[in-house]
Amino acid sequence: MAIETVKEEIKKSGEKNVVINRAIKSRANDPFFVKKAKEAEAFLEQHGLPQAYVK
Amino acid sequence: MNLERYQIEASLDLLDYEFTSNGPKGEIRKIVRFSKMEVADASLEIYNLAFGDYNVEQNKIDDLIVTDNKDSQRVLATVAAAIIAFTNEYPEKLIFIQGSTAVRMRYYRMGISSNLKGIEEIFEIWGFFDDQWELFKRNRIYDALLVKRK
Repeated sequence: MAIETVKEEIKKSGEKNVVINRAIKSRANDPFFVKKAKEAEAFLEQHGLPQAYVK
Repeated sequence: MNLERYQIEASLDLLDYEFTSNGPKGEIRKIVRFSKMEVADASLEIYNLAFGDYNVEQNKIDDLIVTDNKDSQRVLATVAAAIIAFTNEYPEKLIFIQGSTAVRMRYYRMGISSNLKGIEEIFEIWGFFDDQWELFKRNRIYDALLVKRK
């Protein structure tokens, strides 16, 4: 049963080295990643996007 | 792109990933996350890709530490596997990538350049150079990258 579950999870990720693990927690509120996303937003606010991805 | 990679574990929503680097400095836990960004004029949703070493003692992630675990190519290939898994699930999302240092950005650029043919078969890659975006070219020193599944 456990083996079948792993197979399904590998299929879901579509990448053989990537296995879904319910124990991997969300780090959406981790200060490190929040700061990185803010810095990235500031970069794109300043420099814009390729024309292909502008509304 | 048959580079050696670490086994990587992902959250159910495929936004968070963790793997363990193994080398002369021991086992180092690496954390990867795709964070949704708020960008006003974007026609697609954009996610920032960031990753770093998990410092157990301080319970924080560090992307400035020089691990020197002699496996940078394998680490990069493992992060690439996370990008593939993420874009398998979210093919219409854009991924923004900016190295924490110029050296890291150079690593990424070299990693892409040395596997460009295979990468370009499945991804569109843009680089920010000389104050504008262009499709990725070898030997350019880019400040940032944008990646989209073809």
